[in-house]
Amino acid sequence: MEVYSNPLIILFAAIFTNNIIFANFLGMCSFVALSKKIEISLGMGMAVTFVSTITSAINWGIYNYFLKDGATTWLLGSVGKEINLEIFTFISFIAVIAAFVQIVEMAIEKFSTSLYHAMGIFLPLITVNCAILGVSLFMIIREYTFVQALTYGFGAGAGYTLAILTMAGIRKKLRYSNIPAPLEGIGITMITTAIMAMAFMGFNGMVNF
Amino acid sequence: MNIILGIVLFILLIEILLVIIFISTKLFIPQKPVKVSIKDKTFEVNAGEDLLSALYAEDIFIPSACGGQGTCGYCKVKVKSGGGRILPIEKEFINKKEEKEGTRLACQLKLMEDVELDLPAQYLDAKEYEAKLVSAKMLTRDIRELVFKVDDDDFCFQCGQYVQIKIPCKTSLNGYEFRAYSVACAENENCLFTLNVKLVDGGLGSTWLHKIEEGKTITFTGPYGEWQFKPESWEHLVLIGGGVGMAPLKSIVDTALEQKLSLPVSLYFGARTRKDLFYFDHFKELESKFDNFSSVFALSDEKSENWKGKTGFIHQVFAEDFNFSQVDKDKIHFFLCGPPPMIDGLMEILTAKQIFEEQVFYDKF
Repeated sequence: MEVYSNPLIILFAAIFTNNIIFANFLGMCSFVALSKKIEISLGMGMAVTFVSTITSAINWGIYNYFLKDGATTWLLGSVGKEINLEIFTFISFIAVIAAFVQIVEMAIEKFSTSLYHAMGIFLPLITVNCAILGVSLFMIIREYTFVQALTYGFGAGAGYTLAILTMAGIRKKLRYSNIPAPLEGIGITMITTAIMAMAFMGFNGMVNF
Repeated sequence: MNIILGIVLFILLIEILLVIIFISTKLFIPQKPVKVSIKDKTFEVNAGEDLLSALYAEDIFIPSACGGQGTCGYCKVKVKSGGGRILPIEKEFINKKEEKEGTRLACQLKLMEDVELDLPAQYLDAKEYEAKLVSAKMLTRDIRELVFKVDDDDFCFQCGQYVQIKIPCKTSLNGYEFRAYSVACAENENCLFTLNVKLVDGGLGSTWLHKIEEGKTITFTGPYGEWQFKPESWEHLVLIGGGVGMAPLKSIVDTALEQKLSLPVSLYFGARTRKDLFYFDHFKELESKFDNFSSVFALSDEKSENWKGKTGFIHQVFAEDFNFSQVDKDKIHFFLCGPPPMIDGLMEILTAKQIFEEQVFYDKF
């Protein structure tokens, strides 16, 4: 499998071919719950984009300078070569994500109280949003450089925003359609997501990784 | 070695993140106190507190039944300036006209800047009182009549008003919730008031009020209610109610008759069966004693032969029975209290008869 290194390609791939929602199916809970209204989904998309961009950059630094096998050489000299702190990857990443979600929460509360209330519990739940942790983990699995990690983080957030916005648009139209009662709400949303995921597979031929 | 170094690094990371959060807290959350002004009264509260608890802390008891969850819509206040934008949760209870006037739910308004409020005078008069249950009896199978005596001699209510009883509640944040009940007796100087409480399955307030024993002391705030008894400007007072909507009607009838006014008072009351009908004998006795009082009772579900009165829904009975031409139509005052379908039905009838909105007061529940 060929790995593209150009950040622009990574950005494009993160938004379209490897969309975090439609290709990886991560972050589904907030995607389904908050795609009812366009303004709310735009706010959520922006919050996720902000958090995923910042945390992927910081987590990249933490992983590559502290946690990776032998990464602490710059700090401890030859002793560092023996040290492998990869078991701390998850817990450190989550800590960073949690901290930045707190900050985003405070910022949103200050600048838009109505958005803050509309997002409700899902705003603090970005902390345990698998999409955000997924971005940080994909970035280390794929051994990105800093710039690549940053663009990937932003791209994944933009992809999430694109997905949730299109879903909000579709659900707005769905409100006036005749949906069989058992499928109303989440049921029809999951089916629509699956169809959209298939549509997004069409981008696969353009960039693949 | 790995583990120790890892833990040290992790703790360091947490420390750094905490510092970052601390700095942004300073940046985003205003630290200075916020000023709340009501008419000529001004007080300061910490930023970030909600308006409802700030008002309660200042002994201003505005109505609120749900304990600040934004589900009852009682704590409406008019905000003249400050307070930020209206939240979607409030729009459930606030219509376009009220929104334009700046109406907000106090429990949802988070104080981030100085605000200026406009409160009705009666909210400023409402206080917190303690009262003792002096007697209680069952009126029907599910309605209990409770008579309370207030400790404080200052307590004084007007007919048609209601009080809010503090009900202990384990699931509520502050350990209690308020429930509103209309007073069901005549104005008096003995600091007594009566409530009719209908037992609702799983209802917090009614279950508690059905269980408490005589001699028990309760806390309540009040009195509230904007309706005003103005017999001098009316030529006829019509009271229509159903279910537990009886309470304010009885209070008004008793008060009006005790004052020996010549104002004609008509009472229309609907219930489902004879068993659900309460105060029936009380009103029949009043009817024989006073010439200016008449009462009509209608049952919607009664199959028994023994019932000699009207049958059907009370709004239909009222439409057939009431004679609009007997007095000046513009000087009849209507007081409606009952379930929403009844009020809607009555409003339709009254609109068709060209009764002005100002002549009608209603309370839906």
